[in-house]
Amino acid sequence: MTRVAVLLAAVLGAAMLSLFWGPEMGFLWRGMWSGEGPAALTLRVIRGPRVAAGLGVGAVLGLSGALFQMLFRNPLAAPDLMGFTSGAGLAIVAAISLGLALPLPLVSAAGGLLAALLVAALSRHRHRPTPPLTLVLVGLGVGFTTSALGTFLMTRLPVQEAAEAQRWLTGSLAARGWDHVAQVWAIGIGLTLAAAAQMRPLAALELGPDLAAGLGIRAGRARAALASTAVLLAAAGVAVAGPLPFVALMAAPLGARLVQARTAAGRLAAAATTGAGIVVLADLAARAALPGIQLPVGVATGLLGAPYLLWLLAREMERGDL
Amino acid sequence: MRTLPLLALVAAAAALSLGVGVRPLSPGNVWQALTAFDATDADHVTLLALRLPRLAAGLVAGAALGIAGTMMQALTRNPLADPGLLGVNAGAACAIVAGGLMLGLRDEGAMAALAFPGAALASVAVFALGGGLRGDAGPVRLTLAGAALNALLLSVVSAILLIRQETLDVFRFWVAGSLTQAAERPLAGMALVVAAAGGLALAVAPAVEALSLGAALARGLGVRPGRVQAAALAVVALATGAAVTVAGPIAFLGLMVPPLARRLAGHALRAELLVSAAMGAAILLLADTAGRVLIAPAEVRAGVMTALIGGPVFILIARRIRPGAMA
Amino acid sequence: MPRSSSRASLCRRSFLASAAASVLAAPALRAHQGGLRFTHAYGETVLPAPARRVVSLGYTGQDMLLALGLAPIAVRYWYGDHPFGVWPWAQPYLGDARPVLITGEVSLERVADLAPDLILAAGSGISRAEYEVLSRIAPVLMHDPRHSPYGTPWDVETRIVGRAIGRENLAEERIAGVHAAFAAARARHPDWAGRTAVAAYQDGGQTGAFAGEDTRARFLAALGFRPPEALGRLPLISGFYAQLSPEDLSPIDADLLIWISSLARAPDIAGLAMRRTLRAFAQGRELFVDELIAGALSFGSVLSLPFALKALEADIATALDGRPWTPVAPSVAAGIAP
Repeated sequence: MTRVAVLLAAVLGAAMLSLFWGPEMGFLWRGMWSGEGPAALTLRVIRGPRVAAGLGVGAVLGLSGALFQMLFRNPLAAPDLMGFTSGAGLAIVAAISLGLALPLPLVSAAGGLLAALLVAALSRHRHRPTPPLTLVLVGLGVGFTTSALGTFLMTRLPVQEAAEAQRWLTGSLAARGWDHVAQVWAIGIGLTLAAAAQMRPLAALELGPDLAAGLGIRAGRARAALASTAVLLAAAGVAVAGPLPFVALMAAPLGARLVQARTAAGRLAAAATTGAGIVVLADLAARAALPGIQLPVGVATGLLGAPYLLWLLAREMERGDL
Repeated sequence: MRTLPLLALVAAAAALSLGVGVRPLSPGNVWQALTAFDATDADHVTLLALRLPRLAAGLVAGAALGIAGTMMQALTRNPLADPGLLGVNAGAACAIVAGGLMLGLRDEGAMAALAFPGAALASVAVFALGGGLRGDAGPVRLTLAGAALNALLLSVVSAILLIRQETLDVFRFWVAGSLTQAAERPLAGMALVVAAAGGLALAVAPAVEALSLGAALARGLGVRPGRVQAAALAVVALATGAAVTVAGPIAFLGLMVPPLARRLAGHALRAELLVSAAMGAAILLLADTAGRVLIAPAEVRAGVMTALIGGPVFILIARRIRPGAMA
Repeated sequence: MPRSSSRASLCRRSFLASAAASVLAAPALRAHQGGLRFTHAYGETVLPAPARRVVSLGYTGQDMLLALGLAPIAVRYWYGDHPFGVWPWAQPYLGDARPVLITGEVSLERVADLAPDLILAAGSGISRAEYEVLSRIAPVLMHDPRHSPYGTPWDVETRIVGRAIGRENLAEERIAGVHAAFAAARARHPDWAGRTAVAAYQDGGQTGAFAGEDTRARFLAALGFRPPEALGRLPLISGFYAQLSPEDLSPIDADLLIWISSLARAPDIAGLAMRRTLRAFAQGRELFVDELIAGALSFGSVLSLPFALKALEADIATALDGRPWTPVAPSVAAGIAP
């Protein structure tokens, strides 16, 4: 428990750092207390919601990744590798380009669920159970297809819309307001409660489908419910920040390493907290690494996450899992 | 081997590539263009300066990618291996955009010179990371290593592009290649490179097949695994580099062609290489021709066309393999 | 229709068009008691008083501010290697000012740090969400609602900026000066009126032409030229350009064909075999425009337009002199002359 508290404190520290970092740090600090002027404005209107939205997005993505990884008992099963986040992102870009005025969380959830259904249907075998790695590979293929469609769509869009779509597909936290924060936190808390209600089946499924059946769990139905919850969690994050690559993949294993929780609930909490920390720090890096130049946060998580995936693959091979 | 239908396919693709486009050409025009070329006649120019170079580039790049894909899949025993998917696109693009920015290069020739080592380096890197050098690259591992390398390199590329607006147009070509600039490419030189790569591939094919039985067995047959791997990688690097220089990065072709070729050629690697070269050329030409008329007068780049077809093909192949069985 | 009368009607039409534009623009700028009211693409903005500290987020906004004698406190980087993102035609107006350069995604907190009293974001490509946050920092002006995001005419834009910084008279003076320069050029070359002209590009294997609300197309229209009819039949992308098939470049075979390019890309144009089938090529009516002048045409601002006109007038005249053998100097230098 103390380790969870330390991790939580570390992430809060990262959030504070992200809130105040910059040449004008002291000025911001005074502005926070005076409550007026450009410093207070920066904190309240620009960085405050940005950091809070980043925390929420990171937490739902981390939670989503952890759920998938536990469900399929494989560290490579993550909504970003399996094409769900890119499906959600493509749906948003398609909605923007068609000029549909639908709420983004709905569009994103529809895209994510559609991609998940596609992956599930396409990797299904009549005669044998689907190995998780087949799901990952088919998901990768769905991701390739959606990104090809995105490229094609983008070449047909007017300049302004194409630039906006490009930013969405990269993943950005620019100009996120308190309404975005409320949205991702509200949906995130709702879905977290839904996940919490499924802890017993999740713990049983982790032991393997046979043991789960022995415990009276209907594996197929329980798995579908958990997977839908996880896809919706990922979609909630995508609706605010776009399909940030690799956050969902990295959060759970890093969190488990930092906290060493045993229970499913403990590991999920660690993954959510770690995800929040990753996004906030990546956003800070994207904002502050190059002086005078601000990059979208998706670029930073891509730069951080890809080496992690390569390291993960190397380790998996050492252990003979791949 | 069914040689005739294969040749007919390539001939049909070539005929379509020469005959279909925005500007209709009559057989009389074609004859005139060949016998009495007039540089100010738009029909003649279309045939000889646009469609013929595109045909040549399609043959060179398509054959190269067919050979590279087949060799990669044979070497790694991985049906998901494709020089594009395993980081070549991103490697070439990254080398060009980063090099172009740092060295201030603008002209296409210098960019191609960067694309070549960039692509080759990236494919060797992903091969090493994916465990290919040790001969135990499982399909999942190699594919994911490719995806990771792609993501990494593309993040670098998009960071640069977001800072430098004007590089965007030039770069577009290096994300998904096309045959539109065929006339300005070193076609003859690259054709020679591809021929050399093909010759080397045919020479080394029996040893690669022996290697697929396992390193120990191969040694027993008098094969030196290290040398064979180096030769096969040289084939991949040469053929891919030539294809990128001619047509920019074109993904998925090396993935799609080998399984089709195996159906025609059986499981003899030499025959499979030849069939792959022919089919790669035919498919790339068809993709290019379709992209030419789909949204005319604008064009869909051949690289985008192959990606649109290739994603579903990837899924189809991924469905079939059993990751457990490969470990 | 005889040629002379069509020329006259064209002149009249362009005069009427610019008159109509100024009449239409008037209500958008109507002063309101207690402030300056502006209607723009994202809504309505009220300025309490003429602005003094202006952040310019539009890719070309610095030119208008500098022309009106007010250096922006921040400039958006578009392209090119020029100090503070200010191109040579505007450098003399910069004086001692050292504007902050904003590159990449617009950093809202940097804008807030600068404590501006106006954010000019017409032609900036920012999203509505960014607009809303920026509006909490200072009043924000987006592009004119009657035009596409990058398609507001330079004089309309300059007038809006002049109004926003309380220098309307100077704005009118500058605008009149540029209109006069173009009128004088038209008067010096009455033969240009009614002839066809097009600005084209060749990039990454794709040939295209600027048309519609594009600044380069408007520059040619201001000299009395009209676009070729075949170009009008192509679908316009984003309201300002059209893509051509490499097999059919006839839509750009105008009396005057201007290549918007840079010396480094000149070989792309020289290598374009289909170009040799154009009458404009055979008759030496092509004009190559290098990076600096291409930039001036692309900025299309109250400062860059006269700069481009001065640089190009003689070359356009040479290209259109009816004698294919007289060399058009920039085209010869770029190696694309016949």
